[in-house]
Amino acid sequence: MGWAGFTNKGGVDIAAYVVGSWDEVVATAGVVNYSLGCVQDGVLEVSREYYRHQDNQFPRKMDMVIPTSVGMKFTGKVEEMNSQNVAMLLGQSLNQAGNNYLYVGALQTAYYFTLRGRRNRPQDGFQIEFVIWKGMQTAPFSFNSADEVVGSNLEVEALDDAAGVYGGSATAPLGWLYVPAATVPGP
Amino acid sequence: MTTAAERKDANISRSVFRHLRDAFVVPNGLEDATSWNDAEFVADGKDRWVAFQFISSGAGRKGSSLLQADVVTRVRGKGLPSADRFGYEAKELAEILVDAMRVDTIPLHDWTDPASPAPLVGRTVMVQNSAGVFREPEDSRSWEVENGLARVTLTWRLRLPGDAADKHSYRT
Repeated sequence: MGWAGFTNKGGVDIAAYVVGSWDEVVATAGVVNYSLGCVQDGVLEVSREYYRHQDNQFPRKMDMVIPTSVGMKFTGKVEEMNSQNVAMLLGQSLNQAGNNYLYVGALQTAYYFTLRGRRNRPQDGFQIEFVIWKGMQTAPFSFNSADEVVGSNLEVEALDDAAGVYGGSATAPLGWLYVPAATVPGP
Repeated sequence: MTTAAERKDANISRSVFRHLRDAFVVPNGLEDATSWNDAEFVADGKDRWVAFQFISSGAGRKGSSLLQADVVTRVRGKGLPSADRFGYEAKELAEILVDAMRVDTIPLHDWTDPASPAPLVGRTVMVQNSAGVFREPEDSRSWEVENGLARVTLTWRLRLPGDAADKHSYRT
């Protein structure tokens, strides 16, 4: 006699299936929104690290896992090569209106911005979103050659914004995810 | 165990035709020259028409369905621009149809009562070709003008999000 709690075999909340990509990504600096265009293969990642403790009996067994750090980042490939996007990929100010020259190697201050992404959940059209309050672009810039549209890697790492300078707070220092509640389908 | 309403082929195909009824609007009217179902369609005397047919029906069954549309115009037909000697009117008509199908998803209805289809809330079928591209046709071909008829054939691949999920993921 097994556990009586098994009642649903297979998928339960089929509205929750997600297909597609993060097809709208916007960086905000100050009050200005910069749409990054298509970001190929966008991936939102939340990483956590733990300290693992084992007991002192034999054989030793893990008896404690303590979270020690959490990180949030968004990676992908920006494929629209204009001065706004290239400057961002170089870690510089996005406000490059009219600039064609982007100087490399000059002493520059760290440039922070807010990054938002949105994607569609096909079953009900729910828009899933994320925000990174205080992000910094950390990927190296590479402008390659190809027959398909080329792009350069974007890697925006979230920094602590508990002070709320970029919109964060003590309860959401890195950012948030906006995901719909579960809907269990009918019989 | 009965099949869930959103997985039934009859519901999926009729919901797609229902979408086309609303979205496929020809500026100067297609008159009665459109077949909205799989039934045999007689085109005698018409200057342009579109015949739709589902040529496969795997959507809802862990596969995909292919909808085919044959867009046909009579070269120099009475109701068409007299300059259309090369069948461009068929391409124009096909373009309107492609626009009508250029949606990520089509909402599904339950046709248990055919007179009053009930919306299946939160259930849709995706327009996604086999390359994974949303909103675009699977295939689009123009044929030579033959017997005074210009023809464009379009196909779309449709599948449910559940069809794209793991092979063991269906409950009903």
